Amino acid sequence: MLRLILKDLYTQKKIVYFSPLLSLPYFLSMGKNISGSNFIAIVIYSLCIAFIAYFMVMYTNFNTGESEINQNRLILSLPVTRRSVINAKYIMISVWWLFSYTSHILIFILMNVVDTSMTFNQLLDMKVLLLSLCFTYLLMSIFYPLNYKFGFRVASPIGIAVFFLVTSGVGKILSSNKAKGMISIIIDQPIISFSIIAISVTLVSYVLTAHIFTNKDF
Amino acid sequence: MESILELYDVCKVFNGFALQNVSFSLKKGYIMGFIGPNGAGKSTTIRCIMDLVHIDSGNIKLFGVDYHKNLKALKQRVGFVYDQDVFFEDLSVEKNKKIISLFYNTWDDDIFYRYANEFNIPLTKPVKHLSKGTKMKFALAIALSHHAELIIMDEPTTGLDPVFRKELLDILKDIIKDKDKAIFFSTHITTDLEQIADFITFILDGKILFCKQTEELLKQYVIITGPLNLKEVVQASQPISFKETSLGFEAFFETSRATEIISKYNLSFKKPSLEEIMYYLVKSNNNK
Repeated sequence: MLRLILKDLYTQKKIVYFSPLLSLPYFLSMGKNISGSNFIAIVIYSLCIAFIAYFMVMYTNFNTGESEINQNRLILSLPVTRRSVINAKYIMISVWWLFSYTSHILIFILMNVVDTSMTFNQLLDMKVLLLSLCFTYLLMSIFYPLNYKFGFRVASPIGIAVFFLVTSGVGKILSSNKAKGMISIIIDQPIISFSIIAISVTLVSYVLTAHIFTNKDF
Repeated sequence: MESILELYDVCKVFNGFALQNVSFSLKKGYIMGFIGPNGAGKSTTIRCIMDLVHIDSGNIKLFGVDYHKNLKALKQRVGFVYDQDVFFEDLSVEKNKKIISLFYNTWDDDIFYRYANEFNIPLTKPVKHLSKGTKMKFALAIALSHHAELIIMDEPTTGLDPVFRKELLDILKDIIKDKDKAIFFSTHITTDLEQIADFITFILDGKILFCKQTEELLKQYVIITGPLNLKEVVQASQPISFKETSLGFEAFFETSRATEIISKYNLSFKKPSLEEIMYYLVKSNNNK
């Protein structure tokens, strides 16, 4: 499995390593005080990290239709099991998340060098660390089953669409009376709640993806 | 002599095509040519062997072991060459080699660079910028660089210039001197097989027509030629295939059935090439 992880690192497109810079507009728009102390600010920053991580993971799977099939033929002809291919993919989510997370810290440190009055309380906040990891896994849990069932061209826009639908729908959910009970549980115990949701959804996604990939003909 | 590759009644329905009871075996120390017209099932069979495609029924054994048992370990001993571009096209030859070599415990850089030098493969060029022939040479170098005992090739000589094709056949002959290795390759360039293959397996419409020693196969058939006035006589002997030409007729027979009429009517005959055998068998099948 380590070999498959290294394969993903070697085959990543170079330009993707610059994708954390896409967060610059977020940092700049927040002005001198990037952090907020409320939960919403933590969620937004976590989503930012998660989206960049999602983008990076998605890009390692980038392929046009025929080359997608051929590359799967190459990988499966090597001494690997189909299950280990999927295991490596799900572990790589953490790797790219870590890259995204540390890149954001680096970006802020560099900005701080330019403008020392900038503050960012959540820079090394455990809530941000865990929430961003959960969000990354939630996003990839949608992407991977679709990717292996229908291909990259179908999975990538759906994943991005889901991200923006959910994030833009958060406000409506928060103001909904019906959801108040559920929302209060999540707000009271956000880490535990999101961790449980992320673990559950990721498990379902993993089982589904493994089933699809194991049974697919190339 | 141990069998290195065995297929028993392999069946697979796939994309409107069916492999039906495909059975053959290849022993160590031999080269098997796998021939058939386009769409016969050669690539599908190879994909079944490599577990890229799941078979519906039957069994496949590699090195005497059921391939579902520890396929990962079995694939360490198998080298493969496909007819399509499977490598990471945006990466250089060197980078591709670096990635693929990670997966093989017995990878040998010395062998790889020797072949890369011999085949004139530019190491720093992205794979997508290589010519078709050079891509194939690269694939061959990869397949030969981890001491594989079984080399499976899907139309490896397609796109290669005649000079390199001859060189490749010489390389394969050298490899097979090691009696613990075997080579299985599909092709429709039958002249290559006549030079090198010990066994020929012929597949047509998803079914194996025969699996025979090349020498035996070439002796098994005969082409009789003669004047049109002997047409009915020859046709009465039920040739596998018969056609009229401007000068008379050509009839394709099994040698055992043709011996009598050849001597009785003093007909001309010749030993068919592998290509002619394939041509007449396909034609006969199409006429049924």
